[in-house]
Amino acid sequence: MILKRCRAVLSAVAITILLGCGGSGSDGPSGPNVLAVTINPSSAAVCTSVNVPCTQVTICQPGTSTCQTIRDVLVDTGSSGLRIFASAVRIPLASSNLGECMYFGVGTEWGTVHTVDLVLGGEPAVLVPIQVIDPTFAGQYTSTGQPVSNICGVGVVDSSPVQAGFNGILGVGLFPFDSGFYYNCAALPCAAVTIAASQQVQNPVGLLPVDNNGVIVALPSVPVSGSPFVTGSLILGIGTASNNQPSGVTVLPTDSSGQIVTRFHPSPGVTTQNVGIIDSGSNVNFFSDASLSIPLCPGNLSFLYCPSSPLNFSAVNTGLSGSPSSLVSFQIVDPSPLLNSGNAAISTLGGPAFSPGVFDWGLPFFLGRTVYVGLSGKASMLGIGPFWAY
Amino acid sequence: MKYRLALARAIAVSMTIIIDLPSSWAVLGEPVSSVETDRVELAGQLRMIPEQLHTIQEISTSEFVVREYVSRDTVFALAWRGRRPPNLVLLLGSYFQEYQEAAVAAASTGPRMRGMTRTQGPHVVVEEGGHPGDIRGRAYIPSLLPSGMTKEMIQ
Repeated sequence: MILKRCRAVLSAVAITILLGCGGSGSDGPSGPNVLAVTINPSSAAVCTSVNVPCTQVTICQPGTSTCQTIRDVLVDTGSSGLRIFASAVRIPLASSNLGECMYFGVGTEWGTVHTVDLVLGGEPAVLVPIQVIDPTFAGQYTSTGQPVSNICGVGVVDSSPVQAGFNGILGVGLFPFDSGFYYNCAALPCAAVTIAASQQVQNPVGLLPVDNNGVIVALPSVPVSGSPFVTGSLILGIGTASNNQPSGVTVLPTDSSGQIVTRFHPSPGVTTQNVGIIDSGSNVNFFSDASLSIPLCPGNLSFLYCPSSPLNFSAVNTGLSGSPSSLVSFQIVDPSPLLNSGNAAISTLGGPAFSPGVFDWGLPFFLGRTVYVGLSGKASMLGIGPFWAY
Repeated sequence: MKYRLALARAIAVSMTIIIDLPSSWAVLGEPVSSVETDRVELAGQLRMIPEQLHTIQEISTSEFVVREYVSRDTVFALAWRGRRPPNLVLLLGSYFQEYQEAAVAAASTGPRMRGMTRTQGPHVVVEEGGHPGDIRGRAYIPSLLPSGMTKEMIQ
């Protein structure tokens, strides 16, 4: 049956078929709307760090067959739009004077905006502006990301695939546009500009002809001790094809910032209310509470919790309007032995949210779940986005 | 259209910050000079929030809100939240250099964890997080925190 489905899409993209049907050796979905997602595949040069889910995309000069497949691209439900490091782009793109500062919670990307034909899986190409990350553009940063003119006003910007840990970021989040800041650098100093929405870096999913109302991220569960690698899927569209029909999920509508309400239970009988976000680009679950005194890990892991024995927690996620609700249980374990073992997919990593009142469900949340990302303004059988469902 | 107007105003504010601010912005670790000048420079709205251990000067612009924590006439901490971070070169003042060096050192040891991060220099701590559209952070000088004040209170 699986083989038959694979054959049906043979005309699509060979790689998708290989990974979607053969790679995991299980019954993962397949079809032109499926991109394989891996954590730490043996073939990767980057995308080898803990809890970094990656896929591959193809970019082409618009309207031509001059194309390049770019591997090791972070799958990020917390942002919108494609960004690729300039050093990873081998096809010539038309020169651009349009600069962009894109701020993530951690990490800032500076570079130029270019319009390309982007191919996701076996879908038709979409014409879309993307960011080419280049710290040295317009003399703003050194090649290692250190400030020169420092147009983004930050301490450091991401500078290379090796430093960042991926060749690029595929933002398939809740919103069609990216919330970046744009600059005309035709003459220096660069000047802030207002540009038409169609020229801004966009979530490519919304531009697809059919599978355009959101995405599904499906990753397998891993043992408590973690797993050296995993293979899952990024499925385009919700209820638009036979392989993306939701069933039995809880739909949590978000506010205009993509936030839900997360009521955390740091200890039995205690509840604190937080802003909740669900972000495959966050490597761990970040949460805090004044009543918690979990030791932090030593040295350069000091942003992680290092409890002396495993801790069990739960939290209730609730949609914007107060319903429905969904209880999520999770465990936090001392990460040192797991990281030393070389495991790259670990579901028990946690760290402090320095900003009290924010609960960031990172990649651990996705392990063992099928998470639906409802694109803002688009309708599906689960409702109109923005929403999370799982 | 409404969106464009908001963006244009945001851009005007960011230009102001980048070009005009240096001399009068109340900077981390330095005395508070002219609060009213800060407000004008940022084209923002100022709110004074007296607390038991300190005073908060809160400046709101269309892009972000910055809270300056002041005790004994010195800014000992900053917290921000918005669509982008404020210009940390200006806000951190003489502490920017050590923050920047610590951030570069952390980045050079390999991929950083994404989501939230803590950068510690010899004298200053900068914590950053949030997500696109809701960027949050705080910076503080541990040695200048008034007794009884914890970093969790800086937000």
